[in-house]
Amino acid sequence: MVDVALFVTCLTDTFAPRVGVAVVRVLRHFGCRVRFPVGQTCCGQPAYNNGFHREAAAMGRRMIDVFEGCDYVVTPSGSCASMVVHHTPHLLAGDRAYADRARQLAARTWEFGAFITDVLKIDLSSITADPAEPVTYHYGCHLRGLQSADQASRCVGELGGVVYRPLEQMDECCGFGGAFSSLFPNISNAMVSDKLDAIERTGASVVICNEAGCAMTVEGTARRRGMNVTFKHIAEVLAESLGLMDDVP
Amino acid sequence: MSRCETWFEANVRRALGDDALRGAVATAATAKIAARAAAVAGVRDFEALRDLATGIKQHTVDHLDRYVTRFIERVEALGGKVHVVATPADANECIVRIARDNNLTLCAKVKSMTTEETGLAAALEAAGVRMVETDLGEFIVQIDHDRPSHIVTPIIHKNRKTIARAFARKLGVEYTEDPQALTTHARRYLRDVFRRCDLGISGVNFAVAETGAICICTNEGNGRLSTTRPRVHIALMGREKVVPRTADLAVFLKVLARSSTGQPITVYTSLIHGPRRPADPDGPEQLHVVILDGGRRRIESGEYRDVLRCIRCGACLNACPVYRRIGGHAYENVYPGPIGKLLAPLLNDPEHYADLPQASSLCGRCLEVCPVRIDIPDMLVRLRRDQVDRKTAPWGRRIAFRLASEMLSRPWSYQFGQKLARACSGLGADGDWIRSLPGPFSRLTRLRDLPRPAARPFRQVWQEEEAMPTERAGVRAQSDSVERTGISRRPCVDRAHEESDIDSRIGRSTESRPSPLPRVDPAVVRQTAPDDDLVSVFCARAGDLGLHVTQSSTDALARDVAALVHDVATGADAGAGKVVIEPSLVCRRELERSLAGSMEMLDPHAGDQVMFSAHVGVTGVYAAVAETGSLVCVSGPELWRGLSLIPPVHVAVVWQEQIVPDLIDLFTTCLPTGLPANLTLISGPSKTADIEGILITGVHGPGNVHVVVVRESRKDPRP
Ligand code: SF4
Repeated sequence: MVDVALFVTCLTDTFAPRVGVAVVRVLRHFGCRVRFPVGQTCCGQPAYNNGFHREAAAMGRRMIDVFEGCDYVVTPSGSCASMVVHHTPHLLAGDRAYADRARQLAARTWEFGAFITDVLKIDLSSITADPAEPVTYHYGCHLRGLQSADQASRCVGELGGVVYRPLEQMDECCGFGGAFSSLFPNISNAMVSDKLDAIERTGASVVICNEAGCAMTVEGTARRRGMNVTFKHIAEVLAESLGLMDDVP
Repeated sequence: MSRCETWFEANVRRALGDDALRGAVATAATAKIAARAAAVAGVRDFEALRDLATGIKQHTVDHLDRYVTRFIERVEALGGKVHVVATPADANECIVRIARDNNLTLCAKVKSMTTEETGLAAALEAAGVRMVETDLGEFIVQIDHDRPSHIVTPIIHKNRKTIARAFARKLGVEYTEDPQALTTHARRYLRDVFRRCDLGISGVNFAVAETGAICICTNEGNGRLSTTRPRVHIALMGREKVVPRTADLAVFLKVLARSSTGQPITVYTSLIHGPRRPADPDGPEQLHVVILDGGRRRIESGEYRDVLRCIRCGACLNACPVYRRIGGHAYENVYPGPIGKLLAPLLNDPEHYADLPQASSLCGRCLEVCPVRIDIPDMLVRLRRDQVDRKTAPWGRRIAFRLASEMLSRPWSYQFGQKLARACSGLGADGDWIRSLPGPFSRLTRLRDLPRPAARPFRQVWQEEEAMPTERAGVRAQSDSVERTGISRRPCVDRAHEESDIDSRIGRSTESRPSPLPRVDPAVVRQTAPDDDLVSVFCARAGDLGLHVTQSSTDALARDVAALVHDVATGADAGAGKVVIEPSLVCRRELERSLAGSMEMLDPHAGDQVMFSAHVGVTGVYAAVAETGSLVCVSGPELWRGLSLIPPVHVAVVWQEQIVPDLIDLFTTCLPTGLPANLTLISGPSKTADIEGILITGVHGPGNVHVVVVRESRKDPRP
């Protein structure tokens, strides 16, 4: 069995527990043993992105301690995976006690979608997609450096029987960007609006978005606009397609 | 939480309110990014070229003193004068002094961001030198008293209506919105400038340390005219423009235009080796190269040095979701967009530009398109860190992040935070969403609903999930599913090496400095295959670029060229029927005989102005490049630069053995011995897309270029 430690991330933990459940069930379904180290909090990404590097380094060390000894660390968020894979090792490069361990953790950490396609090598076409309505996919920018938009959208496009409508300018930022969206709400909102227009043009009723921050921002704006679309994480779609979520509305 | 709007926020507000601006910029930038993607797809291994470009530039930046010194020695050996200046003001002073010392009064200027950086235009004006911008976009900026808003396409923010009004007002021409007609007006006006100018000022795209060459890439032909016609040529460059070897140009030229505009190569690529030689019939008598520090040395020694790899292609601007929405003026800096967010605070006062590093979602598109893999998002984060470390970041933000970080660092406080957030969110909640928050938090719900923290966060749900019997969770027998999906228990995949691979892919270069100079392996760079028929490849590529290609034979050559000249020289334009033929052209006598009677043959020896009255220039070439479809022309005794440049039609004869496979072959094994003062690659007709992205040919150089290819060996080799 593949041993997986779930790094659920603070946003998913707080705002989207259902995504966490879906991740656990899908991984279990495919034969993984899933653990949830309860000491986990935040990877330090917000602190890092905003220049608070001492604080981010402290959180990075905590991550390393908490996830010590797991075969794989899987997380539903591309940006948090990117934090652990790319930034923490650089932040801690000068820290003798943690530098090597940071690199090791980076090597073991995977974003959920990439873990499904690249490590577990699941043949997605064998899974019949639920929903049957058209879906589209939003590429979270922080996946860059881990997976290209084309690679990442495979998770959706290859599902059996899926009606997939790719977004125009799929790799363009949705406007979230962490503190950016509150520091420059007008620029951010111009970006979100264009993203929503693009979503509207696809005619899809479900947007698959694997980044909690992006999903909250775009969905929140869609609600304000009165748009009728549902946002889902790919783990939820997979779990539902596999009939694993019947008891979790 | 109302506070004063910063200058940048005010600019953003204005820009976002200007629909015309947003539309124009977004459309043009989107088109360019699409063109870039198509151009990149046409290259065998573009990523390998980016790696090389990155490595070469990094090495150069790491050893800049050495390469700048070598470059200076070479330029001086070629007879050029070099002036090393510290500040932008020094650069202007130096240039003004050269103009005064030589009594220069009319300057034809080529687009250059470095001259924008120094504010040269104002300095020249103050000194009484009339300076005319000759790049169509910059010319429009100049007559409309505007500022460029993009480093490659200066008038990306303008539409044809505003341009038409400026032309009618300033040039006194009839109001027209037709880009072709507008371009023709500009051409007429600037022809007169080119005839009379005594000073040419240009920037530099690349400066070759090995030879002292300055390389200038342009599309319209104004760059060539401004460095051919005047007595004195001054080139201003930032010191980071140096590259070690001529061979490196093969790499940079392949990535520059593709990243910039999606062209395989710019129309004109000139290598200038010193001032004109005594036996050259035309070209500037003096060449001055002004090398500017302007804050670059400070950057060189620090952690931001990667930024000096920048080759100013503008791809990051086109790709940037923020730039596309606010345009270039909002940045109030010569360099807008992602690269500007770095250069503005690094070259100037970081506090004044404190907003710029913050105004990014760190989406990383800039890094994705940057030909030299500058990790712009990473550097923006570092600049933010500097603001925190210097305590110049707003105190509210500092306190908020410190508190949040403390809270997120311990499970108990983290969970307390979750509970608190859940409880508070009840205030404005409507089911799972919050429509409006009270007081200072209302800002967060001004534009969108916010999700409510879940009643039970995942960590609570997990306890049940963990205890859940596997069947209820829908898990089949695990050994079964392992078999079904073909997973085997694998040890942890060691991604350590993969990660360092990621490092190099994304251009991180924090370790192992100074970097070695990568070898430019012709096999990696060359785009043609060994068994390609070079004549066919050349003809196809030249055709793609918009050159008119015909094939001929030794015997039929004079007749074919005569027929061609006859066809193209009888247009209605001024100068119709007038032809200048390069004296050393192989078939010149025969050609002259065939044309005698029907055409007026002008003698290039009669002086420069002859070129301006002719309609057709007929020349041979030094070489041709199959990969790019380029003609290569050099200056030298009896070789006029103006012949392939000034008449509106250029006819060139190419012999089969003159065709080299690739730029790398031209720059390594086929360069002329005893460097000519000017070597120019001509890759298409003179063109511009400055006005609303509409392609117009024949701006300043020939709008029609005909190539006659002889699939035989040349009978009478040129000495
Ligand atoms: S930073 Fe890179 S993409 Fe931007 S202008 Fe410079 S070279 Fe081009």
